[in-house]
Amino acid sequence: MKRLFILFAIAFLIAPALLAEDNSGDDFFNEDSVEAPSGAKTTAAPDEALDKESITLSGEIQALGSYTLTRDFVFGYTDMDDNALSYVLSGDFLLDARLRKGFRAFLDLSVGYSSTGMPMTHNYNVLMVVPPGGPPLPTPGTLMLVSEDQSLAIGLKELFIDFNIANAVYFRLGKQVLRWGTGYLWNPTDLINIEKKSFLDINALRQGNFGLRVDFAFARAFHLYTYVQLEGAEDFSQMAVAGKAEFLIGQVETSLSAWWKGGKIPVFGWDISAPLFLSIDFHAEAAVSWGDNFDKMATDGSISHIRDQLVARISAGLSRSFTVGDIDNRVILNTEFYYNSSGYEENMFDVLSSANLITFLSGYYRPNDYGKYYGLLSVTINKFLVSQLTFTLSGIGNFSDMSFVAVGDFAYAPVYNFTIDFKIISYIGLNNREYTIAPTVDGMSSLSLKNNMFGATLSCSVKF
Amino acid sequence: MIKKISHAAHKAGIRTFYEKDAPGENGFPRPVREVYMTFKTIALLIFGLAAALPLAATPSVQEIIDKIDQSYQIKSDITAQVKITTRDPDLGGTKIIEAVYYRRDSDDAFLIVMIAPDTDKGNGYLRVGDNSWFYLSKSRAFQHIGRGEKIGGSNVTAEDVETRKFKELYKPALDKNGKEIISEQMIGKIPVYKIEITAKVVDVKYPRRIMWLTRDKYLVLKEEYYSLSGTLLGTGYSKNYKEVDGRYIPLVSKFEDAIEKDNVSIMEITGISFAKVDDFKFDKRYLESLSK
Repeated sequence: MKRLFILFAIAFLIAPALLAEDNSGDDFFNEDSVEAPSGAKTTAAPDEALDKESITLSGEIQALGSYTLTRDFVFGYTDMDDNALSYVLSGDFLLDARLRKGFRAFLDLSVGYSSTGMPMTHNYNVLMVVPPGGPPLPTPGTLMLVSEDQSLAIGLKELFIDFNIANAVYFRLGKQVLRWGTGYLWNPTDLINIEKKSFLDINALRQGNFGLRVDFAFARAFHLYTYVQLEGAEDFSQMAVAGKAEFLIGQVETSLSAWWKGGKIPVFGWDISAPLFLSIDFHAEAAVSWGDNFDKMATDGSISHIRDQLVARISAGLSRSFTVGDIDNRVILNTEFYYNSSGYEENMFDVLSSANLITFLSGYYRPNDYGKYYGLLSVTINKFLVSQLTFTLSGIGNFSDMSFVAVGDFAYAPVYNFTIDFKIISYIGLNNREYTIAPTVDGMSSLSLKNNMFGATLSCSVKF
Repeated sequence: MIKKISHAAHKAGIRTFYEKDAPGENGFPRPVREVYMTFKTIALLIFGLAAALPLAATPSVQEIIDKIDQSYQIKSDITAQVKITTRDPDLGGTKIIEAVYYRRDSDDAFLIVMIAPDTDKGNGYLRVGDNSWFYLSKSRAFQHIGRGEKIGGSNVTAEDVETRKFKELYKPALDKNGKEIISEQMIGKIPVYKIEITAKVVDVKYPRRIMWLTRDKYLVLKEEYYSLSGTLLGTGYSKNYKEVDGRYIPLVSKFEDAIEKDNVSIMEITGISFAKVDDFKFDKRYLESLSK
């Protein structure tokens, strides 16, 4: 009987093994590792790192060299002196000082150094003149614009303080950069930021402007953002005010905005972002006003104010990422179009006199917003040939004067937080067009015009 | 009939009922007892196997998928601090990312924000219902993204830590005969089911998966991830499951990239709480306030 029982037990125990296939598994496991002991890792505040006093220093240091070949050099009309060589060391140092409950201060200090000097312009008010006997001088009280080559430039891009009330109303006071609008490069509703995005480095840290931002988080589906711009304001009439109401409706995020400043024409805006079919993301942004706050120069050099007509600036774009070679997001495609109803139809670089062109460049020309029709296309390939290499082919074009810039960008990261970036740039189009011309203003009266053909930049950057 | 069998057996040299021997138990002659014992032994072995069979009887893959949803859908809110250690020899070694995440399955809300290293601090991912945003602290921009966005350059994605809805995303894979693919295996000394599932929808990171789950509580211990073309993309492991009101969350997970060999990410929950999470934390403005 005992023997029978043993046989029965053996059969019962070996049955699963007989039916199962042994999987040698992985040394990640042992028999005690499936379930954690009761109370394991349980803590009262695992998110305390988000609400504790801290000071964080981070930033980026970059060394960049560039060389640009002019068309005259490429076609043999001039020698290498016509080309432009420059090299710059720059850095952004970010200090984030946090207290509890979201109270904090932030600083972005930028430093730039160039051994050949960077052109800087200064506005001076003449206070007194040297007694007669010297060279002619401006009279007291006049405004004098002086340009100099400066080797070292230190700037404060941002300096602000954050605080909030019950995580429902958020305040930011100081010099700050705002993200306003959904556009990739063109943000027609952004009348606040001083420095616009650069095509060659869209995510670069920008110069902020001084103001007070107040955000109201009423609900996940509704936010109200307001901004009072105090930059350069000496009284209330010189302040600008902007507001944006943002709504989330299903998978569509849309907002209505408005901007107003004393003595200026109010501008109304709308933007939208939404996923479409086939995993394509869509965004669009539009700003309209009755008249234009930006004056235009006519071909004879006279200045005209755009009034009593509808002025619209519209951008729209698509983006999508693709899985290639079984790697997610290996290829990323971005495209955007921009329309400026108040853009120049004439080729101002060709028709204006030298003196008028200097005035045009210093006061009436805005890069990437000069003509009527623009377009941008960017294709990024991650893990290009090797896992550390990213290749981006991008182009921007002014379809009004048919000039373009095409860039091939190789970014290699041999270790975390270090990148070597090599760009090849081609300037396409006829001479004296927006993206081919390279005007150089020497002082305020001497203008030399060159046209670029090719360029190359090499940079190394370290993030910390 | 028994006589004929016995006669044939006798001719073959096998002892049978009718050989005259000393009487044995139960009044049968010894040979009969021996045969009886042999039959009885065989019967007991078969019975023993049969008795064990109901325990080895496997559930359907669809039942397991349903159980996974039940096991992983946490009723309470979760706050956790995680450490993701990524080893990528091509990028010079190891990178350690620390993040905090909040999760509420009841309204499909999820937020993860990086707290270390300083170069990635403030980057985050927010999901509320059908809407997902990735926040890049450098540009202060929110982007609508898909599920496959990687966290801090690791192989861990938001899909790995937020609610899984297997029922909505996956269905049982079928073999050539149209049957669900399921078998019983062992991982070390741990008995598991091995199942194969395929995606029902397009918007998933892995169109096909092979999973190894414990047989008692259907806890996923190992997964192989495949592309549509059948290429092995990686292998994931999970252990140290923490039980919360009958639901389970793994405290340690590991991912081995099959495309980029030697690229391994290990995610550990270093602290966890199930206290209620304030609603304002699942908001874009809150995520932005945590950034630079």
